[in-house]
Amino acid sequence: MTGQDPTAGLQQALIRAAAHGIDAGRALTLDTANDAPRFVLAHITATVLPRRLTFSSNGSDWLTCDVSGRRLLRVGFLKTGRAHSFDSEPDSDESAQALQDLITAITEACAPADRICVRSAPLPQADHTTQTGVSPDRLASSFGVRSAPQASLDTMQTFVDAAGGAILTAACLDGEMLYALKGDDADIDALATTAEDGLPEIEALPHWPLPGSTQSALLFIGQDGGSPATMVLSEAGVVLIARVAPEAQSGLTRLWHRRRGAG
Amino acid sequence: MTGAPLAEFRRGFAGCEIAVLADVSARSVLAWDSAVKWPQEHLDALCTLAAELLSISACGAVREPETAVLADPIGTKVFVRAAPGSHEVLCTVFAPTAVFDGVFDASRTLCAAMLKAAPPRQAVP
Repeated sequence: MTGQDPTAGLQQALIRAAAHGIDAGRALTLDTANDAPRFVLAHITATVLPRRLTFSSNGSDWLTCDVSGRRLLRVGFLKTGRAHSFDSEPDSDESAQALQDLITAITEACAPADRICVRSAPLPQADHTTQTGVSPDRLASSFGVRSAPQASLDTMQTFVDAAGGAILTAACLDGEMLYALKGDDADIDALATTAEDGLPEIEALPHWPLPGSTQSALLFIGQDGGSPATMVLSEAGVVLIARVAPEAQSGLTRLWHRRRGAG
Repeated sequence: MTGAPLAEFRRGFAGCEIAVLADVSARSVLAWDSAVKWPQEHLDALCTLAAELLSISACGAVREPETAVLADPIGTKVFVRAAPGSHEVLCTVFAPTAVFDGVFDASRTLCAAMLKAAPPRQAVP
């Protein structure tokens, strides 16, 4: 016996499930007409485990998207009661029409200044095993917006996984979108506050990579040795924000340098 | 203020390229030690960076930071206040692969010893 908490494995699995399933209730106030399709696409693209995403605007539900492996399996239009499954023939005329209906539904349900929100719930296995779904790239093409930077997200997720317990909570910021990587809702909300309040100061530093730059930098800000520090990592235009364990900064810095090929 | 304690400090951390004791309120260098001679403008830039990083206030904390670590592809800069709220800061620069576990406590201990031996002069009103 190692004395390890027997529920630790389950806890880790739940944390990972939450990270891949998108935290419930994430919301965005829309600035432009393009924000709503980007919001929907970003959440589909960030969802790996089978989930039903329910989208609402100003408190009213209007769309469900069944997603697994970052592919859209089924849409349900809650205003009309219609639904479409993207099963064995995702390129059929029916599917093309369903994607067009999806764009129309987003356009009709959302306008600038509206508050769009998404909740997620596990999808029963029977609802997703036989469906192939629509890829994020095809969705992005249909929506006429850029797909989420999945490679960058995966890179950040891999870094967080490799860091193990050294990283307590983590989220990844791309533009206006914050993707939960590790931690519960309250943790991610705290990181969102850090992103909102602290990032402008950090990004104003002369040594910090400019937005969109290919340069990278890693910063820790701490209080005393006994409390967690804030970590901000900028890489390939994506920003990772995290709270890290006390005394973990040397190890995380070496891990980052190693991943960059510095020994 | 002599740089001998800084040289001793550097010997305790393999890959520590320079150690600088600075006053971030005056943005002045009090003492330094390095493997190679650093131009004054580089020392000043390090001091300015320390002041900027240790004044970032909006990372979920009420007080200004006590420590900051900035890593880029060519190395890692570590900044540690001598004591909570102190203007005296130990700035160190490490090679990318260097291990700096324990540097925070060691920096505070070094600052306390150096500042006790030679306290910074008070500004004349």
